[in-house]
Amino acid sequence: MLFLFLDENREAYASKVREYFSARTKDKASRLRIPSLNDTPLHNLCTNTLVRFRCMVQDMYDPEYYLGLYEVEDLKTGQRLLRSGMFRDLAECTAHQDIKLESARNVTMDRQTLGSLGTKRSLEDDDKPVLPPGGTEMETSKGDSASTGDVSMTATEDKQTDTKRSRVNTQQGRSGPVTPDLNFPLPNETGPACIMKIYDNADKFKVNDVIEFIGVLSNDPTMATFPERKRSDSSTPVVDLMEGVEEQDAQSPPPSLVPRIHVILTRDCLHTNPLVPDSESYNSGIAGLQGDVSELREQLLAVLEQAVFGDRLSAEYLLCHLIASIYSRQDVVAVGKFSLNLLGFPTPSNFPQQLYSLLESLVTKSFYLPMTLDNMNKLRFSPKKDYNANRLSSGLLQLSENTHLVLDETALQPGQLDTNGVQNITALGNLITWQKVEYDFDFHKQDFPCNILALVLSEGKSILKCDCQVRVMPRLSTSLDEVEKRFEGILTFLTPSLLTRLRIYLSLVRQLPYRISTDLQTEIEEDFVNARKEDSRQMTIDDFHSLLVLARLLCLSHGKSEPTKEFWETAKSMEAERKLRMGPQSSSTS
Amino acid sequence: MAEEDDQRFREIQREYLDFLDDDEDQGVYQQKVRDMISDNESRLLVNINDLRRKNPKRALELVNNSFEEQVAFHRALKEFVALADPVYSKQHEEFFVALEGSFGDKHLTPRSVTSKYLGNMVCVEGIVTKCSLVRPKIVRSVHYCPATKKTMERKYTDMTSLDPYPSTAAYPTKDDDGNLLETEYGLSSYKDHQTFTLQEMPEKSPAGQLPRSVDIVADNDLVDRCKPGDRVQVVGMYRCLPGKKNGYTTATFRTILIANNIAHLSKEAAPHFTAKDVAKIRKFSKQKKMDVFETLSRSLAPSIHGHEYIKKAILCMLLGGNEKVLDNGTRLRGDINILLIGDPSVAKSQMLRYVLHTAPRAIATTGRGSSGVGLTAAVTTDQDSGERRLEAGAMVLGDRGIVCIDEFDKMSDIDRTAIHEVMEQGRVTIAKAGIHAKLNARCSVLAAANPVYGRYDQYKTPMENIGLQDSLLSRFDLLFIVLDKMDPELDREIADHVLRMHRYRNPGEQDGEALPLTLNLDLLATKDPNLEEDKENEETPIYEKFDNLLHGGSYRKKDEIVSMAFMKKYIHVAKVMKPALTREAADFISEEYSKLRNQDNIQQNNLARTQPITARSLETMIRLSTAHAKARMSKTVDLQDAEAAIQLIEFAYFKKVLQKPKKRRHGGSDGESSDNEEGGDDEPQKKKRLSRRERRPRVEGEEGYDPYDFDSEGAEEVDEPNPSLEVRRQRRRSSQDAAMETESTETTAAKDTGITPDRLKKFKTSLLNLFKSRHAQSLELDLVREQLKKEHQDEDVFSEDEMFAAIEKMMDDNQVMLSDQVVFLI
Repeated sequence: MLFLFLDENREAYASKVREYFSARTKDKASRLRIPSLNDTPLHNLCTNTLVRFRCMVQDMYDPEYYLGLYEVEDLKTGQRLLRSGMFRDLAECTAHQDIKLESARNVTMDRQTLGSLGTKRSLEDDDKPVLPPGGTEMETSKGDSASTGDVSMTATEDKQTDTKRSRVNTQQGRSGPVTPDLNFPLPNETGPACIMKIYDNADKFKVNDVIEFIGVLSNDPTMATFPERKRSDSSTPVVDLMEGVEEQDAQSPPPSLVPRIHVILTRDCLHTNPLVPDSESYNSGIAGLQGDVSELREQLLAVLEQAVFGDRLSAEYLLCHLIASIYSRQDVVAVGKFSLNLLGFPTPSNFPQQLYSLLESLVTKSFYLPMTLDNMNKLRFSPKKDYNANRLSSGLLQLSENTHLVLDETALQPGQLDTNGVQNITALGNLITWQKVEYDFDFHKQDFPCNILALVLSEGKSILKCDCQVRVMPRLSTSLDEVEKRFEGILTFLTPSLLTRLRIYLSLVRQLPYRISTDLQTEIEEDFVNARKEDSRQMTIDDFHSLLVLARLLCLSHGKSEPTKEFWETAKSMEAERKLRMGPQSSSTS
Repeated sequence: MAEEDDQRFREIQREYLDFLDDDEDQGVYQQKVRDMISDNESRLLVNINDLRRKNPKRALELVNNSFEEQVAFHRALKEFVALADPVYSKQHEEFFVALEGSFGDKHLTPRSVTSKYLGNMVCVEGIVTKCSLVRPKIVRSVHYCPATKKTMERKYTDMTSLDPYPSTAAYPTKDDDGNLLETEYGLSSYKDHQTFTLQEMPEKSPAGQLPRSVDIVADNDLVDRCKPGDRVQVVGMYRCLPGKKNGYTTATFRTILIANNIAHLSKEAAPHFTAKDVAKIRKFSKQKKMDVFETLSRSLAPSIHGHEYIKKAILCMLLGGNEKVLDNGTRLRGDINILLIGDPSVAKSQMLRYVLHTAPRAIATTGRGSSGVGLTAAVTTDQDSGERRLEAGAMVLGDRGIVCIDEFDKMSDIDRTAIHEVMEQGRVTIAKAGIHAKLNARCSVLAAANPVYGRYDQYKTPMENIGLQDSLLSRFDLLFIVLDKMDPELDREIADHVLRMHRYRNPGEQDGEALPLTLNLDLLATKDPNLEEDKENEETPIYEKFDNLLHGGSYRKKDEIVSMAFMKKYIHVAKVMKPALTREAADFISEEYSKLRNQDNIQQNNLARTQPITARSLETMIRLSTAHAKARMSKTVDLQDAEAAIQLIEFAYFKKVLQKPKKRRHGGSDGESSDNEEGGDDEPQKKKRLSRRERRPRVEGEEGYDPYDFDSEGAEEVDEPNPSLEVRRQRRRSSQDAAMETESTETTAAKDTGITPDRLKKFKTSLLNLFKSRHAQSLELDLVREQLKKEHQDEDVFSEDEMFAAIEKMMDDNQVMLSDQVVFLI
């Protein structure tokens, strides 16, 4: 890394560094030359080099104070030098040099530290064309980006929970006295964890944001031994008193496990789909997709239809659910949420697992949670501040935006829920209804808004109040073998190239701009009033909300950004059919 | 060089001594020091504002260069104590100075503490999260050497003490000649030492950010001043501990705050008011053009359409009535409890959620999730120690706040009874497992419930639909039945409203970003140049910015929505008002009450009421009118307040009209199937019903169902409170009070008329003459009116509207002020 000599003004220095690097990483090609920590093993990276890291902000530690400027005396020559301590953990000082800690020219500065967890998928595909022609290249990309999906696709229920558990176990086994818990919200995540050191404007990051950082990697092994040494050093008793052993373990884990990155540049990630281009080439991406939209939509719909026993309506709803996202909040209402409850499919079956594995291969981030009593009672859903370690212990629901949460209620057996279980159910309910997760800070609780899509699979009406409940009406055979075969068929149908295109489609249409024309608006209004006139029970305000959301999603799924009357009518007929299926007494939920 | 430093240091010390020795001034600090000595304390509380007044340079230095200055101040204090009481000064090794007062830009939260403030005296607010044990720390050890028979003493300081150079931490075991030393433990002295962590207060951390914390060191008498969970304000010196010695250097530090004063904050976090805010609040409350109460209630939960009475009731609840504790210990609660009952999907939960966000202290719970014990308080047994402890439930935690209970109907009866006491007495009594305790739980309850049959059954009485026992119902001041009703006009509005919500995007807001419900970081800056430009942003605008999408197409003054931040501040101020009941209002209330009671007596079987009318209703009326007066920031509860309260009560008690079962036979006629909530279209239907009643003999079991089954006088009073009130109000308004205009046509007329500049000039002259002739600072409005008549007789006589327009103009220009029919000269 090149070393800039600083001038007096540290702000100017920092911004100069930023300018220098942002100028050099402007185009994608040069940015891709920077190794990414997400998919390069740490031992292949050299300390004090530039790396990229795409991650979710999991925790925000207290700021760290460091020597921004310090004086070094050369013992041989007696020469005094000023050095900068920015973008590094250790003060630079060779054997024949001595750091003057008491020097009046030293400047103490602070930098913010964030605990962050790497996202699973690689960034490698960034440089590939938006719609790759297919071929060998595609094979590899599919292979590595969906490897986890592939594994679980063939896994049966037991296997999957087993692997999950065994993973937890191995983690616990490893994390004896030495290995710190990396604090992943989801048990099956293994991406690298990092401590980010932010030099400017740290307040713009929010917890659970997904951000790409570019910065200087620092994993100097000397830092690992450091806590040991300090504890034996009796000259700073205060420090020992302040920082418990747990806190030290949590805040300064060995750098070989949790490297530090001194952040120079950041880029917000609108989406985590590596196949989708960034905002610069975003418009062209949409344009490129436009032609294929209806074809892709049909194909996806066909796949989903096969998956849900040939039920077209359920497939449509499922498709809408996949591209839903909250787009506005009005004081307490999250507009655009579309949690889906699929019910009434034949049980017992492996359907939830099979459906999940299909969805997992389609969307960027997803999590499958069998709502067994055991899970509900034992797992922690809401994040909780651990004051002993002074960090936020993550809960299952600490998820980044647009995570698909698949809740399998068929796994819930009658039994006793304990306090934790009740709290967990409440947390899930709040998540679905208000799109907020309550973080427990012991002395107070705080709501954090989130944008998580929940898909509840249940036999009867779910105990969780979803925005939309669809009873599946199987048109195809529901025998276990047949279903198994169908899913296998889907797998073969989903060629890597098609999968890639579908993935791009899902990510792109979600972000299409959307507006309703005034004409249509009056029509819709009129419609609502008339419907109310006919039967006010059949058209409540909530129904109206969901109709509007559905119309929006339908429109987006066709790649259009302005709905026409047809979409509205389709939405209405879909809702009508759905309600018919649900039966008269349970037409809506509040 | 060193000598020079020494000299300077002594100079500083002398200046501090001068400050403390304020004999010729007022002797405040002399007295304080004397108090300190008589209380046997060693810490003197100094207000930095006093120091700033007397010696601005020292005050500045004390804040910016606290290290040296504090030592000098301590020495000066010691010197001063020695002068005052030489014996006492010898008993204590050291004397300390605790600081309070305004710290300007050094008034921080754990988030805003940065390296910029290292070495400064700062004031930090937050919640204590982690406390260490109180440990003794050796200050001075005394050693005796048996070999040489010598005694030696050693002092210890480290980076948390104020001495500039930390001594070696090594504890001597041998003297210079290698002789063994014995420690005289009895002669050594120790000090208490504790560290704790202060975390940012939740309401002050920006949306989406996790709270931050800062470590505090407390010594001597400051230890154990606070426990985890307390909200405190700590004044202290912010410093960093030097990098680790020995071995290699990390170039990172720990920072701590060495406290010199710890003050507890009240439980409620007060919003920060600027002078401008206060002025704005005052101006807003005195607005003549509109009803403040109306405007505020309309601005509650703007995302929910309609339900204006419920919003009004919630505003009343947020403001609260007056609490009275009588001499005999009886407590008349001031909290207003509200119950919402209604069909699913009528935004009940949303309303609750909104209150949760707006009220300074609100706790949410659901009937399903919590037992009565969980709502009140419980005795639990600690598993390890077997110790019993009290665990506060939602209602205890919500003391002085609002408890929102969703799905109230899902609670078991036993649990509901458990909250009887709390709702009326504001107290939880625990007598269990050998613990007798009374816990305060003075909270308002906002509950939402679904009707017994899931949906509101039109053919059943409200009481049957509610399905809660009277004893509990009477504890709710207001009970609203929220029905999903059908009305094309209203539906259109709702549709419009919902559509707008779906089309609207906050400017610059990202997907899923939280609305900034919490106020911005309170920066009490006085001179920080960085903050100068932020000042403007910090100002709280009264109104929401008008947005076409958000607030509908037509922009009318009366549709303006008060911004959430302003509302919070306004409620905070208005809440502390203690309006007194006027004779007039009291009479009105008692009259109305007896009327209500009478109706109750006359129609024993009339169950159209939603609630029994008991003596509690009388209290309710008083509470509601008090809350209404508070909204106006009035010192008295006037007739208009009482009227508004009665209006609310009548709406809540009676407006729910049942449908006759007859309807079934007649087939659904359109008008009948709708349920009237707003008083507007009552008239024709009522007549229809009345006439039908005459036509039709009562069917068995139906008698009770007819809400209009009472003598016409009573019916008039109950059914048509709005028009009658309206008439009365208009009469009064036209006669005297222009400040109370609501939304009537008069307002618009007055606005349209306005006043031309030259007419204004004339008016001003007359007014000025009047002021001069009277030699007064204030004038009755009637006097002004007469004077105007006298001076301008011919065609340029001032109309009422013109006069008010002129006064208003002058008020805008800050020349006069109109209040309670009196014009004040400014």
